[in-house]
Amino acid sequence: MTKQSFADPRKPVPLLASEVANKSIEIPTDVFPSLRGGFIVTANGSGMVNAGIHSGDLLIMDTELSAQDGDIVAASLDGQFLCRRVFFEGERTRLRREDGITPDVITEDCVIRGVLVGLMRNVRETPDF
Amino acid sequence: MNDCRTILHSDMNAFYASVEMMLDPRLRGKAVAVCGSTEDRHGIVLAKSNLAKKAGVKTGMVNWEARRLCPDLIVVPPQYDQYLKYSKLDHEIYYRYTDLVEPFGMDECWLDVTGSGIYGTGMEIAEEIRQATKDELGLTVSIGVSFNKVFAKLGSDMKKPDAITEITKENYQEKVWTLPASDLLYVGPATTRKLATHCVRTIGDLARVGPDVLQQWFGINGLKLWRYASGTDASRVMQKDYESPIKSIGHGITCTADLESDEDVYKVMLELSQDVGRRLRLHGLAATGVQIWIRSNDLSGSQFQCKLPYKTQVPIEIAEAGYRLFRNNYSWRIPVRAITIRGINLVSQSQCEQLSLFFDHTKHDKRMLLQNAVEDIRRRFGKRSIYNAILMGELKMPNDNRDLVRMPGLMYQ
Repeated sequence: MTKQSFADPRKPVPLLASEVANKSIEIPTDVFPSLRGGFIVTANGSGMVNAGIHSGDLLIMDTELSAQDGDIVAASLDGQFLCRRVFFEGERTRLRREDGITPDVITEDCVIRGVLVGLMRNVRETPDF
Repeated sequence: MNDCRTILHSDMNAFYASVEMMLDPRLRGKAVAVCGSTEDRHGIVLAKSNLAKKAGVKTGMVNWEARRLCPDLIVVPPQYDQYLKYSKLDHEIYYRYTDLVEPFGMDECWLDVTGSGIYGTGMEIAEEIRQATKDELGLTVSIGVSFNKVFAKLGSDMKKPDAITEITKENYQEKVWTLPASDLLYVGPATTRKLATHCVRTIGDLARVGPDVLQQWFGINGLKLWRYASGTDASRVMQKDYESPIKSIGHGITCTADLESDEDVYKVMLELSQDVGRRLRLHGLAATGVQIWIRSNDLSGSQFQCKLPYKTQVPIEIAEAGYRLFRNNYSWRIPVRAITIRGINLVSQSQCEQLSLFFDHTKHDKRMLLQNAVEDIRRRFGKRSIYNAILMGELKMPNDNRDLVRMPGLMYQ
């Protein structure tokens, strides 16, 4: 399968322009002073609820940071975007769903696309933008 | 001196699929899809070749569905390290012409080639890039050439693959204003719906509605939308600091309050020029031209540039040239909010100069000596140990120049 032979597996691989929606949000840098670039993804489902992420949350993913063990990341696996806690084990990565039930997935095919730096949640309504 | 920028937007055609077909000649001329997982039936199509597209294969489709639509489809797994490699190699080609290179994802990029006149016109540079990408990387690009980022991006979308489209002040109404409003950058589904309720369907409709009405409907974003649609968007191509060979050195700031007088503007330019001068010296370069970019508080912006009769690293000379450009070109109907000043058309600091007969070099030479002395003091006692008296007092500049980071949302989830 796909081996990341000369790319650093901890560095996010940029998205394709077409993977990015034609809408954007401005993030204030007084709250996120180190943020330079990235994307927003909406959390879908309760898979990371034990990490404090709820369905519908807007996740702020930094694409300039290198992922460290224990970071929550956006990862491409089989072409799907997953939000998981990541651990690097040599050639392979361990992806952990923070729901207290699902066993870890250990794979060689995971590609990091962004590192979670924060999230936004509107507790009264779902924003339409 | 002119206030028209030349902006390129380059879009690598069918990027993942093109890289795969370039790396493996057996795939050329075939229906190819790059899929997340080839064995697992749930793998998603990430990219497809032209033939696959014609058969109805769509990005985001599950791979078994793609195979059903196109029985001859060859499915290959993604090789992200290769895509990264070719994306970087492609950026190296852009850096031959300018360091104002702003990637938009792995496969798209904006370039500001206004200060790169020595390499040719916008169209000429675009053609060189198109040819070089084909010859050196075996990949094709579509390039849009225009006077702002938004139109340049719309232009690159118009002819695919392997083509160049120019959107000029003469043809944009015909080429851009006829497009649907949802094609405009950052017009998402919610905005499109809201515009449709007001019978605004094309980009031209949007522009004709006018900034005041759009602000009523959408607030400050309405003004931005109008700027995008009317071709008056002044947003800059943001430079990536690292890895690029230096083609220009500049510094910009958004001020904490409106600048309302010539003196305010001069002070900010002089302060910004301190850093420009320092970096020029650091890199052993000197500027033979100066470029300024001014944004008013209604978000309109203009860029002006001029040649210098000598090469310089001296901040006050850069600031004075910038200030002259400003005085000669800015009409002051609206207060100024942001300024960028750049040293352009850079040469080596040790390059021999052809002295102009019509310019008195003694003042310039004295300033060079003065600047050497100033830099020496700063090196020993700190950056702020000595500076021009006019820079004492209130400058309306923030302590650092970060404001907001724009983050796009993800398309396929």
